Amino acid sequence: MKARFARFTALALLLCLTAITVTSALAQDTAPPAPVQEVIAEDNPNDRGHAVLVRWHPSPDDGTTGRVTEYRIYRARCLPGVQPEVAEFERVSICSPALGVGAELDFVDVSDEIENGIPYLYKIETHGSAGVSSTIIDEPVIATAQWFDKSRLTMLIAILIASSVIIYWIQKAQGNTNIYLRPVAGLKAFDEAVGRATEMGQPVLFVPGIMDMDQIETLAGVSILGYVANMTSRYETKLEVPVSRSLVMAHAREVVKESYLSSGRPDLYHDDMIHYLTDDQFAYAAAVDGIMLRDKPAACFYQGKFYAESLILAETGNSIGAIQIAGTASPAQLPFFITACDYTLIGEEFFAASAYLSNDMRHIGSIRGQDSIKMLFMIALAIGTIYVSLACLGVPLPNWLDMSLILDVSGS
Amino acid sequence: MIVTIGIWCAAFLTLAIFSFLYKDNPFYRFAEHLFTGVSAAYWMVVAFWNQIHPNLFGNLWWPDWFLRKWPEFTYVLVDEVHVGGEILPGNALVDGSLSPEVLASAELVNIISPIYYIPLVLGILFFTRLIPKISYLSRWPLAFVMGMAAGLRLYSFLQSNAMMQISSTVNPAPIMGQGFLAWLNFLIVAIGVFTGLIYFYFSKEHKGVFGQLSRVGVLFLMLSFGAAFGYTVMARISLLLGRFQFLGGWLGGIFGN
Repeated sequence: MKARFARFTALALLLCLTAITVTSALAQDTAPPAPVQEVIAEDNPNDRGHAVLVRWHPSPDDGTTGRVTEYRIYRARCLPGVQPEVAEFERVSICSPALGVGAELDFVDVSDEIENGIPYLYKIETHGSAGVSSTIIDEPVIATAQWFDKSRLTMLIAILIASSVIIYWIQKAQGNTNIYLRPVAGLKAFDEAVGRATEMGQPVLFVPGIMDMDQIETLAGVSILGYVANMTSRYETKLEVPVSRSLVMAHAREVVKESYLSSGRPDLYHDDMIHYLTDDQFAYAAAVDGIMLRDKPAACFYQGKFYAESLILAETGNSIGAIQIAGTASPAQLPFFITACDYTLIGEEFFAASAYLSNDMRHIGSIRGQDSIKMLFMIALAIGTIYVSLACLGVPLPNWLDMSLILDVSGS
Repeated sequence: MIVTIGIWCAAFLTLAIFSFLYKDNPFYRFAEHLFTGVSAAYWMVVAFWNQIHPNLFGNLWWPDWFLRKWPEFTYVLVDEVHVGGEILPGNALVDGSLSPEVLASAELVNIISPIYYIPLVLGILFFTRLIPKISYLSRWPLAFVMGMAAGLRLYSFLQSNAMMQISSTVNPAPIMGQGFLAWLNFLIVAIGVFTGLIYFYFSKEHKGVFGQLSRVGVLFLMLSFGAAFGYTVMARISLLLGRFQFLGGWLGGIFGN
């Protein structure tokens, strides 16, 4: 009898427990998800204003169960005397749930509709299959502009160090003629190329790339053009400079005119030496190819920023038997120039070319300064490589050598 | 019919350009001059309507009568059209949603940004090249562009070509706990960057150990150029195939596949 009573009681308890569990589960499914927690809205740092950073911890129901489907972020202008509950909120974004991954979610509300110095309210709605719960941030937030972007402090220090080193060497180089520069084969060939064109009575073709004056490579290319123009004026050789940008044409004319004046042959200069063709990349390449085939220049210089037209130009120059000297810092085009041209100035050689060619001690001092900076980078690279290698190979390192230091620098 | 003529023109011009592979000829010259002339005009129009018109003219002051006189030209300059209590965008001037009577009574709002008068003045200074006496003034906008370019690129060059290059090379995150081969790969890359930098060191003679390291740097450079060459050639071949496919479609249309 006792055993029967015990079995009955156990069964009743089990049924009760099952009923409670099912009821609570049903209640949970029909109740809206819990709201988000620890919501913070603050001015987004290091910007021009017009942006607010909203951070929050996900709803406790945000997990793998799928009870939270999304978070909706709303913004309202904070008007005096108006309670946050009745403010006119406007939806600004929808964010995906964390699904149990990540302790904190955030959203940067960037919009010109956010006026600097004006308070705004934010609300986050937690949406789920069973309803919506919302959290209003009572504390208004004001977007402000910052004068300085502190995240770029590392770069500011790097620029100051680099500039100081270069200025120091420029100052030191003035009056000092003993700064050594190693020979660069491509630069030595400049005289040879123009000389050959002079002997053959054929023109010199100079292509300053296809980009505008806002590219450093174009600036470097036009600078080299000044040197080439100086030689063609002295040797009385015809110079032809087809360009693809109007600003480059204006600047190249100034530079070439200056070179012809400085060599005492302004009579040989005329504006048509530097002429505009078109802004279009392949139309420009087609037109320069036509010039090469018809005028048969004996020397072709490609100095500037190039893209896919590099091989088209260099192959055509090769087919007419011209001596070709290229110079660019575009890594994707260097292989083509190396393949098809007689000499190629690679990257840094191209930027250093104007200093080499001008023989101006200020420019040479600048090259020396840049070398010092390269040395600093090489030292940093060597130290970093040894340090990382030791860490990878399991060699115990002192605590003050924190790996996060390198990771921080990598991130910035 | 117009589409067919267009396809025939494109096929003829493609073949005319390809004829350059044989030698310079009148067909190539025709295609070359047409391409150059049309593209020069095209880019001028694009630059005017996509850059100067909305970005410069759109931020300057214009008299109300001017904005109403040529709406097809000026609707880009109008920021808002106020009709009664309603605020409409500038293209309400031309989209036909408002009758001429309503437009006549509407208020046209043209938001002005005074700072844009600086590029306007600099742009006008370019044209002083046409007047020999004051042509020197055209150097001012040139100086502005060059100075701006140098200053703007200083930051990005130092960051992307120097700082990031070094920090990415010694970034331990991808190799920590990945074994010996990952470390060896890291070491090869680090040696490549180090010796490459030595090659670009100009103020020391490349002799002895320094010279040997420089040669190793050249080796790394040539390896990377070889890889880039092969990769880019494949991309160019795909461009060529695109033109062949177009010609194939054209021929298929003529001969009925």
